[in-house]
Amino acid sequence: MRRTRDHLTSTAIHTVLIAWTLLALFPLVLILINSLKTRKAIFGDALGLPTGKALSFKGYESVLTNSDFPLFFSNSLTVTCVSLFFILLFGAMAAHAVSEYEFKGNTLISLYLIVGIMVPIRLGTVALLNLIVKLGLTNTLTALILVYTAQGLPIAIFIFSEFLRSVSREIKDSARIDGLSEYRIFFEVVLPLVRPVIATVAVFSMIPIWNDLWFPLILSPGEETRTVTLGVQQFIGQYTVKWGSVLAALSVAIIPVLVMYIMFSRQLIRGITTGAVKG
Amino acid sequence: MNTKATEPGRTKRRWYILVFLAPATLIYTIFAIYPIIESLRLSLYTAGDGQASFIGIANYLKLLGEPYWADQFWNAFKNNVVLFIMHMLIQNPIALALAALLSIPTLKGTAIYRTVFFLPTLLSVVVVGFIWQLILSPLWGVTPDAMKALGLGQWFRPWLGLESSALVTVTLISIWQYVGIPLMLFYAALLNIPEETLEAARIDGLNGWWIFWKVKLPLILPTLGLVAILTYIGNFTASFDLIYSIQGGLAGPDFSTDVMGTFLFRSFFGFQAQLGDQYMGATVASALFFIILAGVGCYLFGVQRKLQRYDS
Amino acid sequence: MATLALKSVKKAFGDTTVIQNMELSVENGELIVFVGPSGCGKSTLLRMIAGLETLTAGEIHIDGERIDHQPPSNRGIAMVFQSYALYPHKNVRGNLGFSLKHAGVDKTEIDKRVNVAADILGLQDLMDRKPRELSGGQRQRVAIGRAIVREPKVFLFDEPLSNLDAALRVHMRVEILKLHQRLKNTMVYVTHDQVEAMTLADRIVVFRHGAVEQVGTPLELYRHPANRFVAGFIGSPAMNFLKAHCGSGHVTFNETVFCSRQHTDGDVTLGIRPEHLKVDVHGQLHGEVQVFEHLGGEAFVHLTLDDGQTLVAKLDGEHHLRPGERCVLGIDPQKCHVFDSTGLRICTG
Repeated sequence: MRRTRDHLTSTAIHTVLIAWTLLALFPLVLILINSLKTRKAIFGDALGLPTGKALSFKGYESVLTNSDFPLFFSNSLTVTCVSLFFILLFGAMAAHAVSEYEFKGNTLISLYLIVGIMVPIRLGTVALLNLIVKLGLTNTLTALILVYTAQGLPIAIFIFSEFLRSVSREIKDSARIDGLSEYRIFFEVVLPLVRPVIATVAVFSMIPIWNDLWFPLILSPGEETRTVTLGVQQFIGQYTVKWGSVLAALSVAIIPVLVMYIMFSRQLIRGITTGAVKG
Repeated sequence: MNTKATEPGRTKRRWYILVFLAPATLIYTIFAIYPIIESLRLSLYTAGDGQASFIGIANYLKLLGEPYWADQFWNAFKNNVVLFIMHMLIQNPIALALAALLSIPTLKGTAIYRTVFFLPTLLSVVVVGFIWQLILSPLWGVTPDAMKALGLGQWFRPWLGLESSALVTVTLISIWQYVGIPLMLFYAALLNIPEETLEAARIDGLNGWWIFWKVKLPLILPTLGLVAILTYIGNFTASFDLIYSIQGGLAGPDFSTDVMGTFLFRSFFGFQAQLGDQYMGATVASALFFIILAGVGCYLFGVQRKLQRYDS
Repeated sequence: MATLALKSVKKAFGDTTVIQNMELSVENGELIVFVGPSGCGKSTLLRMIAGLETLTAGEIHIDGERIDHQPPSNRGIAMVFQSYALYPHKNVRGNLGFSLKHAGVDKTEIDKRVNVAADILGLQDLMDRKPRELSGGQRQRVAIGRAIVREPKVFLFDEPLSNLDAALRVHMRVEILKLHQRLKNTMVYVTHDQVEAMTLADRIVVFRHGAVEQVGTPLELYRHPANRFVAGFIGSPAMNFLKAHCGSGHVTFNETVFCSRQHTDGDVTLGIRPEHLKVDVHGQLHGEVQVFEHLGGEAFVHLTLDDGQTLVAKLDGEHHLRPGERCVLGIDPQKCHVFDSTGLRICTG
C-alpha cells in the first residue's frame, strides 16, 4: 500500500519536473533545429527535424559572412575573462587584507567595499559615460572591463572574506615562521586555499557580464568592440525578415554557451550550492 | 579567538596591506561609487548656455510634476511594480517548488534536472527575448498551430504586439529565463538543512508535505528574504535588457512595457523623437536610486527585526 | 639549545590587558609547559615568543640576545601548531624541507636534515604522500618534523595534541617526551590539559587571566599549590574544597581541628584531594553516596555530606558502594591544605 503511494508521489514529482524541463528546453531546441532549415521548411513544418530537403546552411552562411560573429564572440570572451580575472585577483587581495590583518579602519573599509552589492552600478551611468569619454575610452573593451570589474568586486570580496575568516590562520603563521613575505604568503598559501569558493564567485560574476546589454550598448557600441549580446541584438534588428539568418544568429550565440555549460556544469552547480548559503 | 596576526618589526610600515587593498578600492571607487555620487550631483543641475547651472531639486519637481516627464515616470514605475509583483508571485514560488522537489533526497536524476533548469538563465537575455519573439510571432505559426492542436486556436493573439498584454507577456518571458537564480539559492539553502533535523521530524511523524511547511520553509526564511530583495533590485535595473531587445527603446507598444530602465535610457540617451538630456537622465537615475534604497532599507530593517526575534 | 628569558613582558589589545607584567627564565634544555584555562593568555604569550604577536612592553631574549624586534624567521624558533598547518599541495618531503629550501640552504644539507627528522619520527614510508593522505597522528609527526628540520634554539608547541583522539593523545605525549629526551632542546609547550602538563613538564607555569599563578615543577604544584586556583587546576579529579572555619586560631571542620598552627580567625577553605580520602569508620566526614563510578582498578564515590557539601573520593577497586548508602571517610591531616578567604594557601598538613 505504502509502496504504491510512494510510486504515485514519485511519478507525480517527476511529471512536474519533466514538464518544466520541456518548458525550459523546448524553445532552445526549436531554434536550433530550425536554424538548419530552408525557409519553406521553417514555416511549413516548424517542429520537424532538418533532414533531406529541409536542410539548409543558408542562415549560417549569412550570419558568418555578413557580420562579425567570431569577433563579437571573442570580444565577449575577452571582456568576461579579463574582468573575471581582475575580480578574482583584486577581490581576493582585498578580502585577504580585510580578514587577516588588524588595522585602523578595517571595519569601515570592508563595509565600504561590500555596500556595492546592494547598489546597482547602472545608476551612475550618466556620470560613468562622461568619465569614460573624458578618459578617451569610448568604444574600447577596456571601458567594459573596468566597469564590470568594479561591478563584480563587492560580491567577490564579500564571499572571499567570509570564507577566509573561517580558515585557520595557523598555516599562514607557519609560513611566517618559515620566513615568507606577506606577498608570498598571499600568493602561495592563501590563494590555493580559496579554490573552493572561486567557482562560486566566478558563477556570480560571469553571468551578469556575459549577458549584459546595457554597458556595451552605451559605452562601446562600435563595430570593433561589440559583444555577442549587442551583436545579436543589432543583427536581428537588421535582418528581422530573413528568418533563416535570424535563427542561425541566435544559434551561434547559444551554442558556445551550451558547450561551455555542459563541460563545466558540475563545477558551476557545486560552486553555487557551496557559496550561496549565506541567505 | 578574534585577534588577528600582527607582524613584528613594528616600526616598519605594513605596506602590503595597502598594496592588497589598493587595486580593488581604486577601481571600485572610480567606476562604481564616484559615478553614482556624481549622478546624484548632476541631477541638481541643468544645461544653461553651455554651462551647467545649479537648480536644486527643480529637476525632481519637473520629473514628478511636468506631464511630459511625470506621465512617463509614473507609467514606468507602475509597470515596474507590476513586473516585481508578478516575479514575486510567479517566479519565486515556482523556483521554491522546483527546489523543494529537487531537494528530496531519494529523487533520481537531480543532476540532470538541475543542469537543465539553470540553462535558460545562462543564455544571453537578448537571445531569450528573440527566441520567444519568434515563437510567439503570428508570422511563424508555431504557437498558433500548437494552440489549435490543443483546441485553444481562437485564443491566440499577437500578445507582444498588443498594449494590453505586452507587459505580462514580457514578464512571463523574464520569469521563464530567470527562474534559475532563486531556484539555485533555494536549493542550496534547502540542502543546508541538517539531515538530523529532518530525520527528527520524520520520527515525530511528519510526512513530506508537512515537513516542507513546518520545518524546511521556516529554516530558509533568510533565503526568502534574500531572493525578495534580489528580485526587487534586479527588476528595477536588469529589466531593461529584455525589454529593450524585444520592444525597443520606446518600450512599445506605446510605452506599455516601459520600465524605469528603458525610461532612464531614453532620458539621457534620447531616442528618436525624444532628445537626450543628461541632467534629466541623472535625475531619473537618482530617483531610481532612492526607490532601490527604500527597498533595501526595508529589507535590512526587516532582517534586523528577524535577527532579534530568532536566536541564531 | 638555548635559554629563554621574558622580562617585564606585557600585552594589551586596546584597553584590555591580556598578559600582565610577565617575568620568566627558562633554562637550557628545559621543557616548560604553559597551562591554564581558555583565554588565560598562554597562547598569546607563545605567539609573542614566536614573533606572531607584538609586545606592548618588555623584552624577550633567547640565549641572551634580544629578539622581540626580529621577524619570526630570524629568531631561531620553530613552532608546532594545533592544526598541524601543513602545506596541502606539498608532499611530506616537501613540507619537511620547505623552510630550508626557502632560506636557500644547500640541497645536500636539506636532504640530510630531512632524513634525520624522518628517522626520528618514523616517517620514512610516508615521504611521498600528501597531507590529505595522512592520518591525524601522522600529520602531527610531520608538523613536528618540520620544526626539527629547522634545528631551532627553542621549540614552541601550541596545543599540538588537542585535535587528536584520546588514545592517540596518550601515545603522542610519550613520543614528545622521548623526543625531548633525545634532542635535549629547550621547549615551550602550551596546553589546557593538566595531565599533559604534569607528564611532560620539567616546570609548569600556571596562567590565569594573563597573570602567572605559580611556576614550579609538577610535584611542587601538586604538593604545594600557591593558591586555590592552582590547587583545583592540577590533579584529576579536582581537589575537594570544603567550607571550614577558623576560630580561636584553630581551623575546624565538623568539630575536628585540622591545623596545628595558629591562623587568623575567619572563614577558610579546606582542600583535600580525592586520592587522600579513605573509607574509615573513625573518619570525620559523614555522608550519603550520590553516585558511585567503578572503573575497574579504582572507583570514585560522590558523597553528599551531612552539612550539604559535596565531595569526591578516589578509592581502590575493591570497594563497592551503592547510591543512598551511608559512608564515612577519613582524611590524612598531613595532606590537607587550608586556603584563606582570598584563595591563598596558608597551610598544609
